Order: sequence, then structure tokens, then C-alpha cells
Amino acid sequence: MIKKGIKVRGLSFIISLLLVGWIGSTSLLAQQQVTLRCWQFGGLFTEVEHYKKMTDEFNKAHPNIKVKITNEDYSLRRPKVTTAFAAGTLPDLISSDSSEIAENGPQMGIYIPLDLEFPEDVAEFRARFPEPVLDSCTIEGHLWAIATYVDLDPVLSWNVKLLKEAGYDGPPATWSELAEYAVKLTKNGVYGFAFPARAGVGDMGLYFREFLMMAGGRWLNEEGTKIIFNHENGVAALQWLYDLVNKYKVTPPDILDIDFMKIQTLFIQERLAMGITGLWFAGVAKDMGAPADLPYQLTVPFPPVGTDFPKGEFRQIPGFVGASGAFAIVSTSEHKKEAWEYIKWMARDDSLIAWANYPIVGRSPVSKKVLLSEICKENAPYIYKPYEEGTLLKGRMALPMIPAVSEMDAVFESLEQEALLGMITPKEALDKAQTGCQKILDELKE
Amino acid sequence: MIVRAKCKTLVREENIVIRHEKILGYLYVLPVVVLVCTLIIYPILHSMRLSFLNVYLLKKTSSFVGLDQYKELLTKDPYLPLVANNTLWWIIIATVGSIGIGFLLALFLNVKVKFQNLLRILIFIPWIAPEVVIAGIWKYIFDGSSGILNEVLLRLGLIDAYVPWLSSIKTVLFADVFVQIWRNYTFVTILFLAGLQAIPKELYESAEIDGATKFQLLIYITIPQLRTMIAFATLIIVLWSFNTFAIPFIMSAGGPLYRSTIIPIYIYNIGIQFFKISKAAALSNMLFVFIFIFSITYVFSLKVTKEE
Repeated sequence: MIKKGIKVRGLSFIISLLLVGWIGSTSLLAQQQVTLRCWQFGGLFTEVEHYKKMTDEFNKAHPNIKVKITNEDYSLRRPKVTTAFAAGTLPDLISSDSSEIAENGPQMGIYIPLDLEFPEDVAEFRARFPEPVLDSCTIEGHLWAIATYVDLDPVLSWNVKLLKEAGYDGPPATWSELAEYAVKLTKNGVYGFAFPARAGVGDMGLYFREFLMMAGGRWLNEEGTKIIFNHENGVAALQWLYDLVNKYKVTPPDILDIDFMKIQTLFIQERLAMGITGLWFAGVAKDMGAPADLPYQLTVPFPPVGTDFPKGEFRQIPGFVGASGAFAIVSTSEHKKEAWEYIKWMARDDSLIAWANYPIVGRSPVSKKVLLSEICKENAPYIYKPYEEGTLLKGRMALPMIPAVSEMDAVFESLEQEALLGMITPKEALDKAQTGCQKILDELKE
Repeated sequence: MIVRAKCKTLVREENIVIRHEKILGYLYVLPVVVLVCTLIIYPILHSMRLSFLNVYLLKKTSSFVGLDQYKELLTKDPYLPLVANNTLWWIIIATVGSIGIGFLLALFLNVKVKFQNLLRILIFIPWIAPEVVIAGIWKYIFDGSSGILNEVLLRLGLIDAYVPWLSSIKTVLFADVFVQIWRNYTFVTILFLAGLQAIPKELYESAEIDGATKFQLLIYITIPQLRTMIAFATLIIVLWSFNTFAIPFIMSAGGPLYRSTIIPIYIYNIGIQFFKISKAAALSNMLFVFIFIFSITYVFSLKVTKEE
């Protein structure tokens, strides 16, 4: 018989030993484990889930690193990053669009140049990814982020049923044909065509830049020192948009309130026959609850090159590659190596396969191996086939990354709106906008 | 001797109690003082400091520039005159509209009508809903290509085609400010309703015996009795209107052609979108000084009128 007192004391001793052991091991683990924060801006529902799943798997495979990924509001990416930068509360990693790189990279120094920090691994990425993909994350000769997928812009979404009713079996092949189709389609509360013309949300400036380059114009000179959009091709591009609104009257009455989101909404409501979107339309339409039998098709690239516009001094670009879900390492992070491990994990082929409509729809995968995989062939033939034939990325350019682009857009968009309202001519608008944007650029380069 | 010593002890004890109470009093207000200093005084001082520098986040260096930011805003900024003009109209329309509608509704609700309590609850709804939600809903109502307002007006035969309320330079500011009024009038109604119920009935009864008409009752009794409340409501609505952001930002993003950009939106654009922190701080300070002077002048003039 063991005395009760001894029993209790023995039990307490064992419990104390276990407790000390547990606390010791926990604190040791805590000492070794590195916690990283990652802000991931925007994305489709399936993408957000995919990033979380991949992060969980990464955390399991790397007991010493714990990544906490949070999905952040896409429209708040700029204020959130700017205020956190000013307050010194940035996370270790940011996943956003390539459009942020010019400012967050070389200008503000929020991102680090990955090629300088991890040259060998970056060389490996260069071998794995098609050239325009990494180009869309490269500025001033350095690579600032690794994309997990790309958007192909711009795209013409067209309603098959409405076009058929108007007597058309396929989409317009030239820009003048588009105007002709749109005129015929504008009736009974349906608008023929829409493009983004709402200022202050970024869509209008972005679309015009793309449209300008497709028409054979450029925003900046090659050295990045001069604004050059008010040439013949630029004026022709803006004149064409003006004509759609005022001469052909095929756009919704509130064209100056139209952004990409509204184009999608009107299109899903079948109030719009044709609209400028991106390849992402398929994914966004799914997230917005569009009916499964919505009769639409996407034409990539659109508008077609080489028709209707004067041949200028620059090559007419068939379309653009915009890196999205691009992971960058924040310069203030104390755990850059661990952050890089995480990026490599997220950009493995096993992870990237999800963008081959497996299950993420409306994007393009970024690795050559994934693009040519059986899964891609089976699930996303619309990507696989043109890639295999060499036409998917042929001639495409990385979306231009321009510093102080928001301020330039504020100047430009307001003047483009004046032109669309007929208050000034397209030439006057571009002249004024060029002067205003040049002033902003000069201030930045001072 | 004993009595004097006792008195001295009592006085000492009382002093200790008073001192303790004083310390306790200071301790009670300390959290508020800390909060005010941290959340109000420090940001104001920091903003003042920033406005004398040229912090532009896209550039890695900054230096002291004195009053240059202010000078540039007042003399070189191409949009500030238009933005200031928009803000002025915004405040005038929002204040007159909110006070006018709020006052009329309060008069209506003060009369005994059927379902009076239900009506009072319904009228309070705009006040309960968050501003962001209100702006989002009204944006859809005013939508120029699929909004319900256009559809209703079209079916009633009041318009021939959809009106682009939020993308026309002629209507955008009015559409936005309408929502601001819709948001504010409930506060004014409740305030005036309380004021109306506090007016002694005897005043009306004696005036009616003297043969006063309803209109005369309103002009000579109701409005003078509500004078303090009207003044208070006006001050509050003006201050709110100065600081409005969500409604014009969500509904029209300040556009088109800057026609619905008011000063708070402009500050946001300069600071957050264009990264020009010092310029934004300078404009914030100008707005702060303007509101401060306006409030002091207004309160002082009210005091003078009351004393007269």
C-alpha cells in the first residue's frame, strides 16, 4: 500500500516534469519557427481557396516556417500597401498584379530585386517560364516578382445569341466591322458595345494604354523619359472611341460610368452584346453567378491588328500579358530566404497546374511544362492549342509598367472624358494630357 | 486645546481627502486625455510637420520646404478651384436640404397621425444603415444603364431615354448630394421632433386665442423656439458635409471630369493614390483651419445673437 501523500506527490512530480518538458519543447519550437505574413490581393474564389490550400501544404512540409496568408480587397491594394509602408507594418510577402511593380519595386523599394538576391533560382525560373511572363515582372533590368498565372488582355466578349439574331455567325474581324455590328445590335434596351470609360478606378487608363499600343502608338518612349501618346495613331485611337459613343451611338448612355465590373454585369444581364474584358471574364462570370447557359464566347486577341489604323513608327501589338498573383518579397522582411522558399513552393508546377482550368478557369498558366501538360490539353484546350501552335503569346507584350501611373491616369482620364463628351477634340485632349503627364514624369525624375 | 487639535486633524484629513479626490479625478480623465493626445493631437501635429516637408513616397528622399506645399496648392494646382467649388455647393445643398426636409418631416410627425410610431421608426432607417451600404445601394438605383430610377421614370413617361445620372457633369453632384441629404435628414428630424415636443403648448393656445394663423404660429413661435436646435443641427450638418467621403467616392469616384470630387476625396487621391503625402497633409491642414475658423465664428455669432 502506497501512502496517499506519496501518491499525490509522485503524481505532481510526473505532471511537473511533463509540463516542463512541454513548455521547453514549445519554446524551442517557437524559437526555431519563423512566421511569415503574406497579403494576397484579389482573385477568384477558386484562386483564394487554392492559395490557402497550397499554403497549408507548405506549412506542413516546412515545420520551421509558418506562412499566414490573408486575402485582401483588390480595390484597396494601393491604400493598404501605402499606409503600411508609411507606418512600417508591411508583411513579408505581397501577391498582387504586375501593374504595381513599377512603384512598389524600383521607385519605393518595397519589393526586393529577386535576381540579385537569388540568381540561381531565378535562372531556373527563366528556363521554366515563357519569356513574356517574366518580362511582365521585370523592370529596370530586374525581376521583382514571380507570377503564378497571367491575364491575357484585352478580349472581346460577345453574346452568340444576340449576334446570331442580328445575322452574324462570328465576331467582327476589323474595327470598322465592330462599329457596323454594334450599330445593328443596339436596340430593344441592348447596347452594342462598351469599353471602360469610368475615371478614378484604373480601368479606363489601362484600357486606353492597351488600345493605343494595339493601334500602333506608345505611351512612353523606350528610355522612359518622354510621354509620346499624342501622335497620329493615338489620335486615331481616341477618335475611334469618340465615334463609337457619339457618331454610332452604340455604347450605354452612362459610358463615363462604365468600368470592367459594369461591362461584366451588363453582359451577364444580356443588356450588352459585345464588351471589352479579359480572359478572366470566364472566371469572374462564374463567381458572379452567371447562368451556366449564358451564350457567350471570348475572342483573343481583340481588336485584331493591322486593320483600319494608319501604320505608325511602332509595331501594332496583338495583346498583352499581365502577370497576376505575382509574389514579391518585401524589403523589410527579416526572413527573405524563408519567403523565397514559399514563393518557390507556390510556383511549383504541381501548384501552377490549377490554372489550367483545374479548377481555376479564365486565366493562363505560366509554366511551359504546365502549358503543354495533358491536364491543360484536356481541361483548357483554348490555352493548350494556341500555345502548342505558338500563337498564344506570339507578338504579345508585357503590360507596360509606368511609375506614377495613377497620377497620370487622373490627368489623362479626365481629358479623355472631355473628348468623349465632345467638349474638346481628341487631338486637344491628347496634347493637354501629354503635357500634364510629362510634368508628372519630370517631377519624378528630378 | 483639544478642540483646536481635533479641528487641525479634521482639516488635515479633509485636505488629504480633497487631494485624493483630485488625484482620482485626474486618473479618471487620464485615459481620455491619452486617447485624445494619441488619436487627435499627435496626428494634427504630425500632419503639420509633414506639410512643411516634401514627402513623395515614389522618391526616397525628402527635405524641408517651408510653406511651398501650401503655395503650390493655392497658386498652381489646376483642380483645386473646381474641387473647392464642388465642396462649397456640396455643403450648401446638403445643409439646406437636410435641415429643410428634416424640419418638414418633424412637423409632420409632431401632428398626431395614424401609425405615428411606425413612421418614426421607418424614417430612422437611413440613419441606421452604414454609409458604405447606402452609397452602394443608391449607386445601383441611379445607374444610367440598368438603374431602377430610370426604369420607373421611363414607365411613368417622365423621361424619353435613360438618364446617365452619375456620369453626366450636369447631374452627378446633385445625385451624390441627394444621397447625402437622404442620409442626414433623419438625424435632423429626430432632433427637431424632440425640440417640437418641448415647446410649451400654452404658447400656441394663447396665440390661437389672439387669432394667429397656422403660418404665424410657425414663424413666430415654432421657429424661434427651435432656434438653438436649428443652429446646432446646421453646424453639425456643415461639419459632416465637409468630411464626407464614402458617398461621392463609391457612387461616382469623384468623376466624371472631377465634377463630384470634393476636398476629402481629393486629399485621398493626392496622398494615397499619387503618394504625395506632404501635399495631402497641407490640404488637410487647410481644411482643418477652415473648419475650425468657421466653427468658432459660427458659435460666437450664435452667442452674440442669443445675448441680443
